[in-house]
Amino acid sequence: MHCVPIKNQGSGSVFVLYSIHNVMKAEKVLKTEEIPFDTIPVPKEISPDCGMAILTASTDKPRARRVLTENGIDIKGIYLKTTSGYDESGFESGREIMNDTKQLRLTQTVTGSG
Amino acid sequence: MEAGSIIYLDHAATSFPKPDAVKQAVLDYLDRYSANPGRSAHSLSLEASRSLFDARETIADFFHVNDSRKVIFTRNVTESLNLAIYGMLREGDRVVTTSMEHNSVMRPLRDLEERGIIRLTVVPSSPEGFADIPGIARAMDSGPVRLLVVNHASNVTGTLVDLARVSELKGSAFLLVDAAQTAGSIPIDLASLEVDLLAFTGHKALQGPQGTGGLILKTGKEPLTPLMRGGTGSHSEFEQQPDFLPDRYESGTPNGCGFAGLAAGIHVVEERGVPAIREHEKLLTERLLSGLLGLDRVLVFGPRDPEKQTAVVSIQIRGMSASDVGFQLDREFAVCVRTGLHCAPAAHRTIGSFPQGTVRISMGMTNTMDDVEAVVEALTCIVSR
Repeated sequence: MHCVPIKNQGSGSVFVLYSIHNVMKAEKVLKTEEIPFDTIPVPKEISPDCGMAILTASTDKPRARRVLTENGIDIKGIYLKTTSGYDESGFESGREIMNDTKQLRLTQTVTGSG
Repeated sequence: MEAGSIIYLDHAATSFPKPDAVKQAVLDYLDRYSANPGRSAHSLSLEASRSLFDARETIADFFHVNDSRKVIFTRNVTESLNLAIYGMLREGDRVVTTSMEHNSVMRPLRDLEERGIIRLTVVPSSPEGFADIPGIARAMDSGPVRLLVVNHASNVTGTLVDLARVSELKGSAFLLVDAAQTAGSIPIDLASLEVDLLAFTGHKALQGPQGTGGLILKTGKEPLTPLMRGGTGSHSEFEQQPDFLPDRYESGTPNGCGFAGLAAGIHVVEERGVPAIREHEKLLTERLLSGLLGLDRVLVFGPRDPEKQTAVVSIQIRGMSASDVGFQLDREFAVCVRTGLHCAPAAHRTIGSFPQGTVRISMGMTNTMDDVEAVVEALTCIVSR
């Protein structure tokens, strides 16, 4: 398996990315950086998109975020997953994250915050 | 006829036989995880997605592209060229190309020209197939040009085009390169070339299965309209096509097993090394040329210089049609070549072989000197009758 499963999946940081390509790229770079993660379906509470997302331990969130942005992976948003659901206070808009990174998308819209 | 006894010299059409690793990769994909990549959330779909991602990364590394999202998968180089041409050109645009182009370039351009959408300048190449660099420069200087289209090598004569020199002429135009005949047999470094769009096929010198190709975008911001729109597995809540790469240009289920095979083919090519393959093919071409140039009734087209062409040599035999020569080579000597116009009527007009066409002998990395000796011997026999 490519993924290193994290033990406590009850909580963590959910990275929602644009396209399966970005998720695959995220798997590759997180594996290289030895940051434990799992690849999970995008939770329906976050977005109706039928794609995949990356789940890391909350403590790894800053490092994972840095690694992803350094590798040019567009982040749609980061959510805090708790045992009771998805904490809105943990949400970070992709727009803020991506401000200082190069983008390949022709236009940018951030969706899926609800 | 036993497959092993056939001498296959039609690599410019498609490479054969494919490496064992390619066959194994296709089989593994079909056997182990042939789910729909990027669509479902289960483990097999994810494995299929990883396979497709690995293929994209392999191709990006091979051509020295810094971000594999800029590698757009297509069915073949024709689709890649159509995406670039129809995707970019608008009413009133001017296009410059050469007379050595394949119909996968000519037909889309002539279609747009005949419908009054673009103005097209076709710069005649030399009878050996060499691009007329000063002629291209004049065409580029005679008004705003949107797109400059050239092949990296002719599929008829193998004549190579100096991409570095051509790219110096492009000015504000986009440069589209048709690398069907060179990707895998001639080094291509996109990090050092000013090529905006590179169209390649997977099933020739890259050793992949048929049904694989791609278009590589230099920046990813080139103003291209998709050829097709549809399901991408992303942005599924929207009825509009996503605008990010590669999904913007890739709708529908991809050729997952084909691209797994292509990645394996590229690894085989990398292991041997493109420069080593090029040297090998130059030696084969040199021997073929020297054998052919000594034969009566044989007219050899193209540069007649292994340094200036790929391992492709076109000939005619005086007093015989190209198809008769090809038929005799096939039936009597078990030698496979391609005859006729090779989907490039303009190129044949340029070199003076239209409409009868030529016998095209095209070699690949799997050919040996014995194969070349055998075709020279067969042609010696045919011309002596």
